[in-house]
Amino acid sequence: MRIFFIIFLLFFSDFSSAQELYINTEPASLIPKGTKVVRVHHHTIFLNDYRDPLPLSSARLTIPSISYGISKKVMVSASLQFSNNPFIKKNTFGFNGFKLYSKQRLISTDKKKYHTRLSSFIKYANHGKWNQPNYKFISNNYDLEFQDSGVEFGLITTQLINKLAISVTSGFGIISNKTADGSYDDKNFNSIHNSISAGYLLFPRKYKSYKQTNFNIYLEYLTSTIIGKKFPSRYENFMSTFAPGIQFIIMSRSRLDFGYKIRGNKSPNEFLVKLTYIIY
Amino acid sequence: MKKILITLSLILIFNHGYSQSFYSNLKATGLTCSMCSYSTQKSLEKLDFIKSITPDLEATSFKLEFKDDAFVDFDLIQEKVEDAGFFVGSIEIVFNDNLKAENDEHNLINENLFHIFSDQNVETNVFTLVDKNFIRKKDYEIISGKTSHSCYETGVHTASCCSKHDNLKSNKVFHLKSSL
Repeated sequence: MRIFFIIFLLFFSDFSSAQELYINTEPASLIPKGTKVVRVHHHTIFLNDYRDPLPLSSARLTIPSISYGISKKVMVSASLQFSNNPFIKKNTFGFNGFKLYSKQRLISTDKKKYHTRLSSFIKYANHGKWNQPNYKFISNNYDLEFQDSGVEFGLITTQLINKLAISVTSGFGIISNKTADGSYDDKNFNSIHNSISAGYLLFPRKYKSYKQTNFNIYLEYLTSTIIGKKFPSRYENFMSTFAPGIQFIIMSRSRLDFGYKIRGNKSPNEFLVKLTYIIY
Repeated sequence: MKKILITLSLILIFNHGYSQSFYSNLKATGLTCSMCSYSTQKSLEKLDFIKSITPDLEATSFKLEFKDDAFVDFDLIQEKVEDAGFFVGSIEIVFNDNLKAENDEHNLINENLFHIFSDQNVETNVFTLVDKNFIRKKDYEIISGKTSHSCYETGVHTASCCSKHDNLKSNKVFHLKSSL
């Protein structure tokens, strides 16, 4: 893991100048007022990696989402989650959760090709159907993104200088894994989620038209720490994830992202593809 | 035939007078990608007085051309840039001909009433918009100290402050400076 960090530092210290349309985290910037952003993600979680000799198929998740810029200071988004259930023999694919998200711009200072942004966010995730411990894609860590339920709120700060964008997100999570019908009641716990993301614009070197395809590379490091002593015993209290990725911006209004998540604690790795389209 | 043409041209010139027109160079700040510039352009396109927008992506600036006989509301231009999540760095107004403007005087050009500050009454066609929300506070205070007109503070045309102009499409006065 340390080697990734060294590569990360070496790579980015060489360049002085990217982008902040991160693959796994939100930037502090908001989408323009009145704009709708539609997105479809596909995630493949390689469950077999660490569950040998159990012959589990990979988890496949499809997440459509829509975001809307209410004003220049507030945006909201909602997403639905559909997936297979790799833990049962009968291969099913269906709805298993949703997320609501809102981001508020607090501070914004801009200069030419330079900006600093600070925003707050609140996220609600409900993956009720997957609250039974046997059905968690990641068995030894919580993940509000696609398998646990709860609320998270926090701050995001993004600094953009020429072609390099660095963003730090800190959030406090209240995880409440109660099934809707009360048939299973996991222990509630709190957590702190921190991440650092960096993006760099590789191409084009010079902007000439909106039709030029932009190519960005990303490296993100995400951690989550369970605080307090009361939490489900199957979870480890610290989890870290490295997430490299690449991104194509096509015709200045579509994004195609490819990412890979390398998780610590012998948790399964993941491949993801995101397609984004902006409706003005 | 030649005579008729000359007469017709003269009639046209004298009837319509001489019409000065202008375009703007808008420099936006905080933009670093073509997606940001595209969002800003899409936001600006919502303004009906803008005829065309030509972006310079590398310089993160936009050349704005305006419809004839339209009042150009620079406050709305600023609002649209900010709606897209960015800021106006500066707005330059370029007239098609040099402007013989006296310092601290008002000029009605097309449908816009401009209040012009010019240090040495120089003749130029390039001006910078120097209204309160478009420049640094320090610069605003310097210019503010050199004018007695209240419109620089209020941004509004009144009979007591500005020269008399009837039938204005808008009461807004924008302020220009030949050099900042």
